[in-house]
Amino acid sequence: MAKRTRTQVLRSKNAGPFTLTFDIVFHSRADFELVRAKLTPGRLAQTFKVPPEEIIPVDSIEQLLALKFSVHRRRPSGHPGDSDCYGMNQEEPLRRLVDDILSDKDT
Amino acid sequence: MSITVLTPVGCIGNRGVDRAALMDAMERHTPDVIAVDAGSLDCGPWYLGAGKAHSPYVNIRWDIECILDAAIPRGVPVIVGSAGGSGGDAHVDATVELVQRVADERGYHFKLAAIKSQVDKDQLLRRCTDGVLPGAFSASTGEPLSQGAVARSEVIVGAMGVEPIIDALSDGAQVIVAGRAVDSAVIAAYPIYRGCNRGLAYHMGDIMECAEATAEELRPVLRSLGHNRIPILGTIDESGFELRPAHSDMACTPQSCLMHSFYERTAIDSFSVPGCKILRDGSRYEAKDERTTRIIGTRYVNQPYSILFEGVERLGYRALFPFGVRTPAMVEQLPEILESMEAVVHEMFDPLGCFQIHWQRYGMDAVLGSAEMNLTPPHEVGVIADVVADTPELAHDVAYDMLTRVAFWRYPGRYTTAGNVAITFSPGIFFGGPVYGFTLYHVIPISDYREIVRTSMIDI
Repeated sequence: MAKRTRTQVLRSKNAGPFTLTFDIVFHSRADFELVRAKLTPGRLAQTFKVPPEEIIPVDSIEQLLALKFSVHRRRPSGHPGDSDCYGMNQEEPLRRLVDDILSDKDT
Repeated sequence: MSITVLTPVGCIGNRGVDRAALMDAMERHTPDVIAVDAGSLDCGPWYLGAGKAHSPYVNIRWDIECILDAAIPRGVPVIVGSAGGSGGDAHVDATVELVQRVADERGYHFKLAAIKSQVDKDQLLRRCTDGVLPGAFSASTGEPLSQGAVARSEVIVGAMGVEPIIDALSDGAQVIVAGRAVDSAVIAAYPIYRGCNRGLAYHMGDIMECAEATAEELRPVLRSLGHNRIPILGTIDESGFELRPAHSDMACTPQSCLMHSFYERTAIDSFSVPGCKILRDGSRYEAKDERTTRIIGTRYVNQPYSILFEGVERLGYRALFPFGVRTPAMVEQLPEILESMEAVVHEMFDPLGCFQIHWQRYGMDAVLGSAEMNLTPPHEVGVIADVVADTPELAHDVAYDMLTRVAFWRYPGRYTTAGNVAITFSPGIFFGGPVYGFTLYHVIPISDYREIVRTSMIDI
């Protein structure tokens, strides 16, 4: 069975050629609040294995129970060595972190 | 007063508009204008550099035919922004040529405005002092724009706001083919030309520019359609705007519209366009009926006029080859093997010119790179060996040398003495042509947008 997520939407995409942006939409306010409190720049930097200053911190849309943050790309979109030109498939480290938080595996 | 804009597709040439939905919407809702974006930067720097469209010609042609058939007989103006995908001069010319051809075949006559926003780098270089362009800053990091980045650029375009499009409308253009433009400006231009509020118009454009991507399906309909882009209708009045999709099985809900405000950007509450900042922190999204959302409360503040410029340089030429590794002993040692091999190849070929080697190791870490957290050795790895060199010949020779080298590399514990890997194709090496990289993604203060754009009127 493929791994699913406890969120409704969890995605990555380019926000311009130099930045990846991540969006998470939750099923419940409790999940939204729990994860929002834990997604510090330090924690995200650790997750994506980049220095903390590369993280553009979390912002939220309460009405949607949604969080967003962004990360400066290691390589610009479509440059030699980049493997995800559109930035559409960079979400898995975040998926793992968020699901660990939501299943109380995270302390 | 209210103005209705129809956006047929999120990007011209991406799968194509559902013709029946478009024609039905023209009859039922009698839009005042068809406005559509054709551009994307997501597909990387190559298309701007090479002057080519990213979408297939047959799909672009489909959308242009549908749009002209919907608009011209009804006398409805058409605005296409970021023509040809990247909005360079070559892209505008190709789009104008296609519009001309379709119009000739159908006997349509109209006044067309072609607005180009590709700039000569000398124009920007003249403004540089002390190695930077004063006042310019990176849209992603805020860092200054170096003179060197401008000088290295091969193609530079400026993303126009509504102003040059409004000029063309005032001059009587019925079809406007604009070069690189801010996505939302393409949709906002006509309402602002007719006196609507800039904040509301730009916000409406910002949500509508991806067409049905901002709507949700009430039941699955899109996946069974060949041409599966569904138009979105936006109606703007004095106090707000309303969005609805042109398909009865789709809905613009407050959630779907709000979700789209998120899309492909880093800031939630505001976004900047030439000459102003759109403030969405007071915007309210309300369901008007089950398929329509009304949005109110968006404001704007004027800002000094500036334009986002995108530029690319040629980095070299590509040759690549894919191969597979199924031998456990080699899979385990693959990173070290490739690293050692690369060192030898550099020693051998460096005297012949500059080149860089990149390995995409699918099954190990190709997608996530250094962020990959699963380091368990897989049973099989697919590798793309990517070489970018000064010339296509050097790229080929380095790649072919590596192909035979990886096939016969003597790593510890090797028992596959007739060859190590599965070479996928014959010929083994693929040419990727010129390779481009981004040089500019910078906001530059502009005193008059007419310094950047050139408009020509053509009788079709």
